[in-house]
Amino acid sequence: MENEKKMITLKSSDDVTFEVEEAVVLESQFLSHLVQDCPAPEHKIKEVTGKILSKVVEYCEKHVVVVVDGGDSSSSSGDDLKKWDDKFIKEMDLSTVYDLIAAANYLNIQALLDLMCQRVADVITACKDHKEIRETLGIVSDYTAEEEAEVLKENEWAFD
Amino acid sequence: MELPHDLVGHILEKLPVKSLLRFKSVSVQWKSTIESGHFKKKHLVCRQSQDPDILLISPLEFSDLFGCQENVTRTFTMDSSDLIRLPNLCPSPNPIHLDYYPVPLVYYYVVSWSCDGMICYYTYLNGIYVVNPITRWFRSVPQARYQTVLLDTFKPEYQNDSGIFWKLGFGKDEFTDTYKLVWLYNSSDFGLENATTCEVFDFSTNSWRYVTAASSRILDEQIPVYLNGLLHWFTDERRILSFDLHTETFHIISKTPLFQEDSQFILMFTLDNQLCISQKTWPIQEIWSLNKSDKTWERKYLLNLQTDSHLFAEEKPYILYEEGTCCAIPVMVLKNKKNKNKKKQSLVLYDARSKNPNLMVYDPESRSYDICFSPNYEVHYLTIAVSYFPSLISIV
Repeated sequence: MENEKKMITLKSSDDVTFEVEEAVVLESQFLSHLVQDCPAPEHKIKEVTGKILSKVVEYCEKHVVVVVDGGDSSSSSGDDLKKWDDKFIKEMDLSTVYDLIAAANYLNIQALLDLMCQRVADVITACKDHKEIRETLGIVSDYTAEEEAEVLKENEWAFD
Repeated sequence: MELPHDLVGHILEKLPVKSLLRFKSVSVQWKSTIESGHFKKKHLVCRQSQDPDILLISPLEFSDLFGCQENVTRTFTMDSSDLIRLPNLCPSPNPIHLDYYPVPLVYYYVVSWSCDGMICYYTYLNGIYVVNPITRWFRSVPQARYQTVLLDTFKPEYQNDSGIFWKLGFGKDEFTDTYKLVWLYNSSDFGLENATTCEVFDFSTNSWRYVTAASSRILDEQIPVYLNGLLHWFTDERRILSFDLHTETFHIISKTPLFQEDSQFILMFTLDNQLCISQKTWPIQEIWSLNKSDKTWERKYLLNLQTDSHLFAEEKPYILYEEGTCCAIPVMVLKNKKNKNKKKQSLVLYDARSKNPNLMVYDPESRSYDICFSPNYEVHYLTIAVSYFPSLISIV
């Protein structure tokens, strides 16, 4: 069985290549269409760097294995997968998270997009106020002082 | 390093409503994202993949020892111990002074089931409000003709004061994404012709209008149940009558497996996006769900209320003109977290008429009940428990 698996090569914007099983590629809606429409052995993904593509491949390989081997014992492998996801995002810095969000969005990998967005959402939740959010996420406020005071006043009760 | 602009929405849709209201102050872009109609809908869809929260709405709660009564709404999230009291958004109901009536009439708010995180509060005679209890948005709705007609029955020459009230339905036309209120009642109670009379409130025109009504009489005291663009009532013959909020037409969609004669011991509601009915014959309460495709009923739960009888009310107390359901209200199915792998999912119940009213989690595998919080207030027997998905939705 091992030998029958079809392999596909993905090439990043900076020409790093990854050889993966077709099943792994199918985790991405974008790539599965690409592979169907254009059955070449190698595909260049100009929008994603090698660093980020390696993370995407790592994620997809893990998730495809679990689905195949899952079978009846999906509950325990579901928990394992959750643990793996937690570890996967834990050490990642925010700029990698942003790049992965953009890549997951471009490649249309819904589960990865959800995971990464949830990671940022958790960071936001941990902030005590809008100033800390700006600081943590590197957002430059485009409010004037008056506008900001007005918005804060409008939603004052939500700070209870 | 900055968040990709077009992806901010993906991240923000995972945050709770209250955080979003607070974080409008981060930037103009965040504010406009959070306030856009498209984002509000996506946020709701995302929230709907989790378990709903629960609103406990008590129409007449005694707020102090001197018996001052008010309408109190609380919200509860499973796995938390906090039952958070929400502010009252509707003004106190106005007493109605009638020349021919010895005392001013005061009717307190009753509520609809929820639709997209909103609830409709109304009194039978004056006042209708659609409220989003989490964002504190509310909108006042003009008096319905039903309320005028009902007020007429208090005139001295009007002998048919049946004491029956008909409940208001709240739902959404899913094709046009517009919300509607529907008041359906049996015409004969008001000396009118036809089996029923129906009026619809359209938020876009801000007005009520009559529509062609149902040809079967309906049961009184039932809260119309909204599911997937349809509102549902029980007919006199215990069939399910539906109103399509898009085409504005009535249809009988199903017979029911119910045999209980007393309408206070049957109940319609939704669980996990399915239309459900329940009947109680002490100490058993059955819960059935309707299969959408083949329109057959399946019995989902068979509750024995006697195993923890202090959590449930056996009989209705004898009070003249008593309204409200005498069933334990099935509020929601616990879908997420540790329940996911169970063959039969746990069910959250509420019985306002028991000695110690509380939300209860019923585990079908062990057939046991667990209470959710310790109540420190006096619950009115008309209290209802409504599952809802907190949302940013409002009707503009």
